[in-house]
Amino acid sequence: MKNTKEILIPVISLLIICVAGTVLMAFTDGITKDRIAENAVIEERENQKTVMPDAENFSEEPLDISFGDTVYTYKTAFGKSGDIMGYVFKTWAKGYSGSIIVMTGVLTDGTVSGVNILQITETPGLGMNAKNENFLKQYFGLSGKINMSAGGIKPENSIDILTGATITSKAVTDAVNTALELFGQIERGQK
Amino acid sequence: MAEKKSLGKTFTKGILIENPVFRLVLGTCPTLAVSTSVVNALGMGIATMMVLICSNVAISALRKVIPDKVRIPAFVVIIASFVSVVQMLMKAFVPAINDALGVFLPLIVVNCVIFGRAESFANKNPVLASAVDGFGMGTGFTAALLSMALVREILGAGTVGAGTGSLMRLFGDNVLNGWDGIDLMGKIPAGLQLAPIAIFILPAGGFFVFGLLIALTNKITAEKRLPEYELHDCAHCPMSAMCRHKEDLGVRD
Amino acid sequence: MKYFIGLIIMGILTENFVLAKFLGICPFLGVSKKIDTAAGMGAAVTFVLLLSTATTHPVNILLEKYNMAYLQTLVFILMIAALVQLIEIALKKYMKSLYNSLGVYLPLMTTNCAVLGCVILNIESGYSFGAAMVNALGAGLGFLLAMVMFAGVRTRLESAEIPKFLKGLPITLVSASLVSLSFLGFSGIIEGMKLV
Repeated sequence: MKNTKEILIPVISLLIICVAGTVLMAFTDGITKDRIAENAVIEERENQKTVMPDAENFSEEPLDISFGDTVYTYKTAFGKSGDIMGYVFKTWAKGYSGSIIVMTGVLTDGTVSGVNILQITETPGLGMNAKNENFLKQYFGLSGKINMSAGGIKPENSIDILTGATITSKAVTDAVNTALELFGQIERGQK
Repeated sequence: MAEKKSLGKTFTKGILIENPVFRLVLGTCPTLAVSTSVVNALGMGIATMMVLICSNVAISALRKVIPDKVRIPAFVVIIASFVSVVQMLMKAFVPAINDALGVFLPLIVVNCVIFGRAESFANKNPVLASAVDGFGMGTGFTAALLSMALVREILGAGTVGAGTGSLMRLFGDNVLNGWDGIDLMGKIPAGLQLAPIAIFILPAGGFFVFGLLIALTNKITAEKRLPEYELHDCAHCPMSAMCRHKEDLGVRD
Repeated sequence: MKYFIGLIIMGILTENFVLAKFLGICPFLGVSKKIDTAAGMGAAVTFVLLLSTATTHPVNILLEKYNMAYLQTLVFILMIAALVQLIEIALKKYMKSLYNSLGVYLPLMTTNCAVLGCVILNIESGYSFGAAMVNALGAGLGFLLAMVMFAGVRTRLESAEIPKFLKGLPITLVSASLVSLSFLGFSGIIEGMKLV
């Protein structure tokens, strides 16, 4: 009898603690769940706003679009009067360490309206500088196929690469170029 | 009066004499990993402090109810519950900090500071003293993280408090009027500007700064003739109660 | 296949758990005085990592199916703790020789953030079961490599003349910094080998 009691009491008290902990967590989950979901929506909207500041609203669900073997996604941006202003693409390319995911806004005339980096894990102080506004704003207004320049005479339609981070600069440019290619696909599809 | 004094002592001992990071060398993983910027360090410090106070209070309140045999699993459950709660709250209200801390937020569960305090303080002391102990230890942990982060951010990125805006969004959209840390490099006249020493925010810089700060703490405490702690001995390992192989591992008891 | 080789190399060299991700620093500093204990600890971590990934991965699918992902941290830490106890009992009973070499390190696994960290990272990265296992293996081997290498560095330190306040932990951390710096040289290797 004493033996069962010795086993039972610890087991029951541990069980009670487990249940109490689970209830506490379930309760917090209930309060925070909506807010967490809302945060993701807000973040997405803010990212879209930075790459296409003039757009009034965006299509709700992202559409799939394939380029080569990879499937990327895009959303349509609408202006004040409900006309199509351009498209927001989510594309990626291989950086120095891992994928760099880029959001690019392309206006209907084929020029880049803004570039924003959604995910990047490059070396701090070098590749991470790709997140700087000064680097990203170089893409603004470019179209077609964007080239890279490393000092000297700057070729047409190009951006200056980051010092010490050629691979990162190339990855971002590749991702933007993919977005521009995809834009071409959409345009051709409509004609 | 005597009680008040001892509560004050309970609080202050966590900051220098028994600083969990520099003196007891607990919680090294988060210290090294998140001290790349002042904002991350502050976020981690506050999260850990919240868990520490809650778990200390809960464990102290239940110390007479929990059978000694299942003490350790019970502590694990209590701590893990509070960590999950704090994690969900951070995800909801300061998503930017949650993203920056990443896996180290759930890993507060295995932070030796929390387990160590539960085992060596909360399990033996009344609720109020345990809460104060949690607050003091949390403050010491945060202060240590901040001092590491300050050195690393200034040298490694040339800024102080970059990204404060994302933390402060908690209190409204524009509390700081767009203030987002100080760009120290930008303050140096052009021409004299140097690139920040990026190595300090890389892992290697973390080990280096931590080593030097511990050496500095050792020097200060030696001058003040504070009692020396044998670093990395079993007394501070939260698993020491379960561990039966101290001498085999080559660590002193 | 290429993808799996990439994952392993990433775990060992570029994303080394100890030297790049700061997971498992306590055993790295605490049990690296001698090469044989360091190797034992590394092997035990690899072993527990593989087993805990194999058990937590299916459980997580269940948790997510029933919308209880918020229980992850609690469930995982309890599973790892129970698993470690079971491994210890099983090894003691059926594989005495393995128990003699690894048993010493097992109780330290529960609070080792490399184990819980790897389990959580596998889930956050959305790896399939196979990829998660390969990643766990890479992480474990990386931990083992870092431990053994660092134990070698520390045996050299024993005979070095060190300034008074740097003695002990500070000089250990400064040497860890140099080892970590050397691993930085591997970054970009996976992209360079076109493995991903």
